[in-house]
Amino acid sequence: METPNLLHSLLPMFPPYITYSWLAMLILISVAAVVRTRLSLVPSGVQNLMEVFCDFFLSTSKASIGSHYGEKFYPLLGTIFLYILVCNIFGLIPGFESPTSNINMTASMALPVFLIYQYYGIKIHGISYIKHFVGPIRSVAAIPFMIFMFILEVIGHLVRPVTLSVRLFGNMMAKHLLLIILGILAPWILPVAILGLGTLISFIQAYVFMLLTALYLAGAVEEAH
Amino acid sequence: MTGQDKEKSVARQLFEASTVGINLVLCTFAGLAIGYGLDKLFDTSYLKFVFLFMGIVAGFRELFRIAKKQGGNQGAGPAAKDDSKDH
Repeated sequence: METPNLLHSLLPMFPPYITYSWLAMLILISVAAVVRTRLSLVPSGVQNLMEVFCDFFLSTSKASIGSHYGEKFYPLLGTIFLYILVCNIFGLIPGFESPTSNINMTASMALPVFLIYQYYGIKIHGISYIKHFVGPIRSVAAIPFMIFMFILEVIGHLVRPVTLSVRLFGNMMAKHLLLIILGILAPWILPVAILGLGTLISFIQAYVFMLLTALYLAGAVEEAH
Repeated sequence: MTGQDKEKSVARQLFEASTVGINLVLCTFAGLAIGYGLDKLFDTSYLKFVFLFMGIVAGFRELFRIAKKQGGNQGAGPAAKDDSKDH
């Protein structure tokens, strides 16, 4: 069954997950630009909402990363959360498709996160960033153990972008498939329940992606023990 | 810690704990994939088992890391607080 797809019929030369991600960017940038032109000391309307969001990002970032680097990284976390949230919610609108139900989309967000936290780990700690990888015991006699720990840590770090992208993609894809199948089998009541669940999952997965990004950044910038 | 903060931290711990399952599985497969690639590279046959084992251990290590952190968050004393930082 081919579902009607709004943007794909307008721009058939691009795949839908690209055009909907552009739409998400357009919505986010235009809302931010409009709010920016009419900032007031006493917030009202959309500005109120944006301030609540910013406060939430700042507090999450400071709680996870620490007050010094928290302020530095909270624009990144906020961008990730809002973008993923808008992309997820697109999946709930009839005729729209959520870009996050394509693994290319989620991987293209998880890979920069991986590169950013490794970059800041190296930038902040320099060569001693390798202490994060060699485990708790550091002496000449423990070199075989340190090599073993190093391989373990490398596997653990390489898996992180994969888990980030697969988790988001899997959740969105599962919701999408469930909606389609239940829409065919029982088209009246059950899809509504799944839509409710889908809304919950959209928020939770956006939050989990942000939280894990914060945790990885926190692990990279803190001192090794 | 106010009630709201406590609730927040419970939700956070829940989301962190929800990452355990997928981590455990993917670490195992990542280990196997690395071993398989190295086997192809060096024309050997045993490295995939070595790295499969290492992947399994890495998965359990991640599990321990999260469990230790969560246990540290629940405790009230200063020792527990120090423990939560240690990961």
